[in-house]
Parts: sequence; C-alpha cells; structure tokens
Amino acid sequence: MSVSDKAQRLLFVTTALFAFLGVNLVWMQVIKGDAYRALSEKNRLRVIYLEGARGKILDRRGRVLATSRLGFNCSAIPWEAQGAIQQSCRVLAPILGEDAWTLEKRFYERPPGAFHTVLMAEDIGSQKAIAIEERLDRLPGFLVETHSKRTYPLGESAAHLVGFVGPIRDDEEDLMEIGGYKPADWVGRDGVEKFYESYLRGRSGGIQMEVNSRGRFVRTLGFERPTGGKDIRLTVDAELESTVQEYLRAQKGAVIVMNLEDGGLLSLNSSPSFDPNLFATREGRKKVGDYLTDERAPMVNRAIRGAYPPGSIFKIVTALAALEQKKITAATVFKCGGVLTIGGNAFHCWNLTGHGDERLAEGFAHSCNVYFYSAGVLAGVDAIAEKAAQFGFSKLTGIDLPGEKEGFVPSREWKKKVYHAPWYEGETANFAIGQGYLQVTPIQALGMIAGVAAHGWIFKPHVVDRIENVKVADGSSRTLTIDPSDLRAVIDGLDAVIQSGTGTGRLARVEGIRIAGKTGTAQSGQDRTHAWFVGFAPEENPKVAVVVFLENGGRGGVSAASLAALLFQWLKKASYL
Amino acid sequence: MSSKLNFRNLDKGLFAAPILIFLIGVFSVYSASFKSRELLVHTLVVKQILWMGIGILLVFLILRVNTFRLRDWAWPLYFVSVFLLVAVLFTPPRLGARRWIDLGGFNFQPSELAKLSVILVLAHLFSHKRVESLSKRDRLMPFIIVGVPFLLILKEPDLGTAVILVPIFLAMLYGWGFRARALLIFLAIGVLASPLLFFFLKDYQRTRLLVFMNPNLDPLGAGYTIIQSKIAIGSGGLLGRGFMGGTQTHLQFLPEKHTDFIFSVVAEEGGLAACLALLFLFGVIVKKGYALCGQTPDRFGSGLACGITTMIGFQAFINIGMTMGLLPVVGVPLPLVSYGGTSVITTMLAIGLLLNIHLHKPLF
Repeated sequence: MSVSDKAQRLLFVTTALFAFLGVNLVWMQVIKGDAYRALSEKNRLRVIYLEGARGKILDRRGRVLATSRLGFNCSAIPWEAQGAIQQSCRVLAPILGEDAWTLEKRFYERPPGAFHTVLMAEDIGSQKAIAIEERLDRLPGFLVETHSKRTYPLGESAAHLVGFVGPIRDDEEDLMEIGGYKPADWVGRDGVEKFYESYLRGRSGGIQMEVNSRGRFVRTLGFERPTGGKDIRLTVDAELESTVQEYLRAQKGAVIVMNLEDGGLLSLNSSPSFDPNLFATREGRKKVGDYLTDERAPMVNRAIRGAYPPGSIFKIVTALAALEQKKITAATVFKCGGVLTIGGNAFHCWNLTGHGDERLAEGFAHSCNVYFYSAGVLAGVDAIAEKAAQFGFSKLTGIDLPGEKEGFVPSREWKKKVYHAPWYEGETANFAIGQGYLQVTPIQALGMIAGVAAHGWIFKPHVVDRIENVKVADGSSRTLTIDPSDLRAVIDGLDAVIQSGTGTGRLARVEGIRIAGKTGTAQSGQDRTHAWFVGFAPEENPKVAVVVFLENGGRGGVSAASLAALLFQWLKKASYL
Repeated sequence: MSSKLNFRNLDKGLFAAPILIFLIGVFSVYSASFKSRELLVHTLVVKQILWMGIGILLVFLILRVNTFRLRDWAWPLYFVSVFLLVAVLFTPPRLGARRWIDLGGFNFQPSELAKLSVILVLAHLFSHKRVESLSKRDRLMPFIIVGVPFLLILKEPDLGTAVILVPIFLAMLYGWGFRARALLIFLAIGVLASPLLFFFLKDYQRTRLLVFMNPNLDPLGAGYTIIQSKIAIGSGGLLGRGFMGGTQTHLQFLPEKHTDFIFSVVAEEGGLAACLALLFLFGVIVKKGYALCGQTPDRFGSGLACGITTMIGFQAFINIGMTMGLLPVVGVPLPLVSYGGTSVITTMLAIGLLLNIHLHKPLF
C-alpha cells in the first residue's frame, strides 16, 4: 500500500470520528436541546454547600481559642428573585426588622453583571432563619444558607497569635483552582489560622438538588459528605495570654514568654490588638477598615513583624563577643567618667556624671554605656556582627506564624556597599550598645535571652504543640559554641542587673525567685524611647524566658521591668516557676 | 533549492483555519473568564492573544528553515524535552500534579513540547530506515523513544497528554510500514492491560474513569463536571444563547471552563452552528495535513505531517468527546481554543511545521 493510500485511510478514520461527534451534537443540541435547556432554565440544579467544620484551636490545657458556630444568612438568587423583589422585601422586612426599601436597595446594589447570589442579611440567628424558611413560598428566589462562623472567645487578647479567617476573594483564583476552595469558603488570614490552614480547614461537601421554578425542592441528585478539619493544640496558656494583654492595655508593644523545656511559647501578645470576631460578618468587616487606617497599627503583630533598635539588651551580645575575642575578662575594669571620646567625637553614658570604676558585672548592672563602648571597640564590629548572627539576629527564627520579619544587623561590607563609606569606630560604639543601624524583632530578642539561659541552646520558637493528638513540635534547636566561663560571666552580670541595689532591672525583682535579665532603653527617633526587658528564671535552672517590648514606652528599667515583675509573679503563682 | 521564499505558495487554507479556530476560542475564553470588575488588559484573553502573536511569529520563523534542516533539531529537542519532563517532577505540585515549570509568571508545560519532539524524532528515525530492513533491536527503538516520555508524563500525572501519544505513535508506525493488523493487536493488548494500569492511577483519575461509566455516581464531585457540561452543550441548541449569554457558563456551574471544558462554552453560547464550524475547521487542518502526508515525497516530511495531523485531530476529538460525556475526562486542551500558553504555542509550532512541509515541497 502506498503512503498516500495510508494517509487516505487515516483521514477516513478521523473524519468518521468527527462525524460521530457531529451526530451526537445534533442529538444533544437539536433533538434533546429543549430538555437540556429546561434543565438549565426552568428546573434548576442547585447546589447547597455543606461546610466541613473547621478545626478548633485550643490552648495547652484544652481551653478554646477559636471555634465555629452555625450561622444563617438570607440570600437571593438575582435572576429568580428579580420579578417579585418588591413584594418579597415587604414580606422579609418585618422578620428581619429592617425597612423594605433598604432591603430592596441592597438587592439592587449588587455588583453589575455578577451572577452570584446576593447576600440580603448576614448572620440572622435561628429564629429569623426559621421564620424566613416558613414563608419561602412568598419569597421566590430567596433562600436561607447556613454558614459556620468563626468565634474567638479570647477576643483581642489572642488575636495576633490565633489570627482570623476571612472569606475568599474573587481575585484569589489560585486558591480556588489549586487549593480546591469554593467561592464561599473561608481561609485563614493571619496567625495560627493562616499558618496551619491546611490542617484546620474542613472540606466542604454538599447536596445537589433539583428545584422547580419557584425554588422549591423537587429531588436530590446527589450528596457529598463534608469532612471536618483537625483540631490544633497550642503550647500557649490562655489565661496568661489574656493576663498579658491586660498588663499591656493599650500600650504599643509585645510580650512573649517561652517555655525553656522545648521552646514552646506560653504566650505571645502584641498590642494594640483587634477583635478577630469582627471579621465574621460583613458589618464587622466594615469596621476593619478603621484598624487598617489606625496609625497605631493594631493589625501588625509587633512580636514577630516589628523590627526595632534593641538598645542595651544587645550588650549581652557585645560582652560575649569581647569575651570570646579575649579582649576583656569578667575582671576587666573600665572607668566611666560619663563620656568617652572616640575618633574625636564624644560618646555619652546615660549617667552623665559617670559610674566610676566598673568590672563586667557592674557594667551590666548599671547598663553602663562607656563600659560597653570600650568593650565593643576592642572586640570590633566584625566580631559583634558575627556573634549577633550566631544568636539569630537578621535571620528568621522560623516560628510557626506567618509574616515574620528578619530585622537587620549592619556590617563593614554592608556599609561599604550601600553608603560607599568605611565603617567608623564611633559606629562600632553605637552598635555595641544596640543603637545605630541595628534592628531586631522581639521574638529574636527572646531567642537571644533563651540562648543564654539554656547555655547556648537556641530553640526554634513555636506555638503549636499537637495537631489532633499528633505531636508536631519537634523542639528542634541548634547550639552556639560559647565558652562556659564567658557565659558564666554574662549571667553573673544579668544577675547583678536584678539583684544589685543599683541594678537597672531591680524593679523586675520578685520575692522567692532568682531572676537574671537585662533592660534596654532604645532611642526611637521619636520623642519617647523604646523600653525593653529580656530575662529568665530561675537563674540556676531556667524554666522560662521572657521578652517585654514597649514601643515608646520610656525607660526599660521602669515600664518594661515592672511589667516583667508582674509576669514572673504570675508565672510563679501558676507554678511555671 | 532557491533561497528566496515565495509566500504566495503558502497554503492559505492551512494558515487561515487555525486562526479562525483561535478567534472562536478568544470569544469563548473571554466569556468563560469574565469578571465584571476586571480591566480588559488584565484578562486572560489578552494573555491568550499574546501567546497567539508569539505563535504566529514562530510560524514565520519556521517557514524560513528548509524542511530537511528540521531533522537536526529532532534529537536535541527530544533530549531537552525529556530533561524538562524529569525536572518537572521536582517542582512543587499544583492541583495534585507536577506539570508546570514556573518561568517567572508563565507556567510552562513540558509535556506539550514533548509531544512535538517525539513526532520529530520518530519522523527522523523513520525517514532513513525501512521497516523491512530492520533488525529486532531496531524495531524496539521507536517504542523506547515514545515510552520514556510516555511514562514520565504519566508520572506527573497528566493522563491526557500521555493518552494523546498513543494515536500519534500508532498512526506514525502505520505510515512507516507496520501492518494495520499488528497495530490493532498492539492496541488490543494495551486496552486489555489497562485494568492493570488502573491500579497505578491516582485516586482522582480512577474516580474520573468510574464516573465516566456512570456520572450519577458522584454528581457533586467528578460527575458534576460532566453533567453540567452536558447541560451546557445541550442547552446551546441550534444557534446558541449568544455571546456572554450562557447561564451555565456564567453561573459558575462549569469548572475548568476556560481550559479543558472550553468547548461547553462554545456550545452553550454558539450552539450547533459554532460547534459544527469548529469541527469543520479542525477537519480542514486534518484533511490538508493527511494530504501532505500522502503527497510529500520526502519521507521525513511525510512522517512529520502524519504525526502532527494525528496530534491535532485526536486532541480535538478527545477533548470534544469528553466534554460531551462520550469519552472519559482526561485533561486534554482543545487546540487553540482552550486557554493556555504552552498549548497555543505548541499547536502553532505544529501548524508552522505543516506549512513548512507544504512550502518546501519540491515541485514536479
């Protein structure tokens, strides 16, 4: 057989297949066309989605931080409701306690061209829902849909930690196409709700039914069972979480408490906060706009997303760098006369009259700038930057919450690249006391103090302990190589900060617990300084580490240390210490 | 051979048919992906037109190359394809499959390129070896050439593209000189062995096959698509419900409507008239393609035409058949109609090759 004959045969086969399609098209579109059109027009298929319950979020003792309740919405299908909308709204008005005209306006205010159902009344409660169901025959095109509404019993207190959920947006096609979400689904938008979305989310099922032209049920065509999401248990103590938020009140700042057994967080708070329950309803979401325009930025989780100059808490890093470089020992004495001249510029101590002769421990206790200018300049910028990086500054801690920021640690190379200028010794002095270009997040500061407390173990901080009885917290960590005697020298300094009569952190003292810590008062570029406190307890066998950061909170030794004292008291009372 | 090309000799029908098919597609993609609040420049249609622009440009580039020169590309292209098919298995999965390589916003689908490169290599191989003079080992060669990408594509998994390789392969073997009876036996073994394959399929693929047998098995899940698609096609009637008038399309009843199920949109909004027009236009390509296959004295060109024509023809057949519920749902795009950059560009490359074979055909 010639090639051309074979090509003829292939053409014949393909033509036959196409003809088969053509015949079937004629059958479906012309002969059965009316029946199909009836299916699409008169007798409509309607899919009632049944949401799979979203998993709960619980605290370490099983107290509820986020759960779902059943809510009812009243919706209208535009092309079915249009004809009798005026009458329908009159029927609906007394039930909903709204003006008929308002309802009608709401119906017409829907986005043009959209074929979606119009939400007429959200979260109406079961009484109203039943009342509407009873009158559905006078409400063509209307229906009552059930939705699960997320509620957060702790409200503002745990908002930054737990996060919130929001409805999927039209432009999130990726989520819908790839994640298999449906247009009415809700997704985690922040916090644990977002980070653990894939575990928490339920898979929706639904009932597909045929309804007649009046929207009445004719028969069920199919049913798909929804499946629930998984419950998540946090390492957090709900009571501590709300207590801390009370301590913070409206003060801008962040407080984090870490359990030193495995790096699990006992609490993580950021203030000001917001009410995550508002996101559940459309009315509430309108108020959310105020949050976004509020200059106090209540939606920003300062604990992991705010980067600030650390001030004197950074002296821990400087001391360790200088000790490691063998530039100082615990016994090295510097004399503080209130000022130090470096490269022709005067660098002041916060105590302008000077602290006199100090060893490392007194340097820490007084948080003496001159001591650490001197130690820092001896150690050099490279050694300090290196040590800072070892402690995890300028890197993500890897906490299981979304949107963590890296902060910034300057270096000689960076300065040259960006400013085309050499690094000056004066800048090292500033760097050594945690000022200048340096920016750290509260969670990184916590990582530093936890690293000291745990003798060089750096935990990966985490908030989730188990997902549906499966332990997920791996308690993973890495070790720093710090000479034990260097560490001892620093811890002695941190001890003096609290216990010494002249210690800057003495307000953090709590009867019956030995605490080690460091205060920080960082220039913010605004009127008021930032207040910091990092610390751990008990000193000899550390169980918890804390960081307190108060944005424009004044002096670390006053506001931050006092708040830390409250924290340690609470932790003692609750037997964490 | 003259170095100057005379574009007057270009096969105008073979050039016009794909463009007309594309135009039907543009309207349907626009309708299927319409969102009221979206600016025109952000729509998928604009992207689709951009891909087509690139495609047409490539056609003219290909026309400048002598057909026999194309052989040199065959093997390198094949190895690049296989490499990419391996590479794609290391990408993060989307929709449960690893089919796309992200090239900065554009998701490239290596399996599309693989189809074309398999055709080129087979045509190249067949052009300098005759079936009668083959050793047993030589006879195995084409099976390996197809088998490697076939299995890699199945692994992604992308059942649709893998399935398309089968008719292409059979048609080209037939053109090469294999007996029809031998091929039918080969096909029969394949079909009989497919229950075995069933065990290797992903859950969703299994469901799709079962649902094809009985769509009401799972009317909300996998069966839902078929039922809704059939309603969309059927309700189109003789002349359709008009551009942007399809309720099935706009009420979000149809999933994947701008890609694999685009034919339902064409059918609902354009009716039987549009469907038959589309079938006719694909028929034009198929007829001209197989004619080229039969008339080209150069064995390479002839084999190439055979493979390409089968590819386009069967893709159209399988896609339309599945949206109508006549065939199981395997993800195959409708060439030049479904939204998708890789598919549009690959199809235009294929059309470019056909036009090239025609243009460079020695005249008697």
